[in-house]
Amino acid sequence: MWNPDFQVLAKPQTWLAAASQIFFSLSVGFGVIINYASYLKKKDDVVLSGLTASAMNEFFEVCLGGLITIPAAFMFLGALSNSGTFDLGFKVLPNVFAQMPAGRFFGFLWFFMLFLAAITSSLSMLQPVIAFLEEGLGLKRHASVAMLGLITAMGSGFVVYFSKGMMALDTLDFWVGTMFIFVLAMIQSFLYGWVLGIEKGDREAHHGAHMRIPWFVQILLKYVTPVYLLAIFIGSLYSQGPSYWKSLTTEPVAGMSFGLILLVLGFLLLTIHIAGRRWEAEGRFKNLPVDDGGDA
Amino acid sequence: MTTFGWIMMIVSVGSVLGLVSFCLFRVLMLPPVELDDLPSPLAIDTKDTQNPD
Repeated sequence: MWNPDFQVLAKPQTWLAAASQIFFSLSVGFGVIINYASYLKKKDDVVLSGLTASAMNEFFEVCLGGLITIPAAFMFLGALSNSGTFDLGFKVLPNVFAQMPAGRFFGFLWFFMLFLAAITSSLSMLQPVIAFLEEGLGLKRHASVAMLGLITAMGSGFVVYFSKGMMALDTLDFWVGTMFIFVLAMIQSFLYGWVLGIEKGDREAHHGAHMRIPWFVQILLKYVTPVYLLAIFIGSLYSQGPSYWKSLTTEPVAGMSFGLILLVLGFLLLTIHIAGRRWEAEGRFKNLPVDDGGDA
Repeated sequence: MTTFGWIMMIVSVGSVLGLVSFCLFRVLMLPPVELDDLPSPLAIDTKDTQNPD
């Protein structure tokens, strides 16, 4: 698996999958980092913390996943292991556990830890939406949780009902977990570089920081990252757009899954519009802090 | 595995191990944190749990 295939680098979908994977893995682009950041004080260090969290994530993915889990799957099952994330976790690894000593115990540990990882990640993914519904629509906490619970139950029920061939799950996973995460992160990269500004971003990052971010990183974030992400997005749509469209129009479940995504997206855009109108009426936009260029 | 494969593996794993070692060293070398600067989770007021209904 380590043997490089340089021809694959010419395909935009390789870069799309890699970028989406790291965005999902580091929780960038869909509110989780914003949720964690809301618990920090202004003087808390985000530079060293962010670098350490990213490095530790890479340690688990490259050193533990890349050197143990995936090679074990290849060794036990060969080509079967090359069939996607869900198959790796729910088909390949159970086969690995079945052939190893104390496999049931380690299998239990694996799925228990997977459950813990999923439930804790879910909490951090759902909390920003709960907070938004509370602040945007003026709902109480329980009403906000109930509304979000209804939306997630609808999505989960849809996936369970159309579970044959995992078409609904695969479609939702691709469009939400790959494409839309990429789009959201791309929008955030433009917002950081061109709306917030790299000077202010650099200043904010270094409040209480224990190490400096080299200035060329800010140049990369302003000029290279947005262009790179936009190029991948356009290249991917150009090369794979027809096949995406064909899949959505020929597979009824895939089409309905995409329709569900659009329905939820429309609902969220509507709530954002309502929240914006409410905040405008309350005069919140007039009281935004003005950047004075100092440390205050 | 080809020579390129070995190079890819050694460079990837080596750079990740180097980075994570550097980060852990920097974190462990930080001065001790005052207890007053560490709020307990229950001390964080999210302002929406007093009257949730």
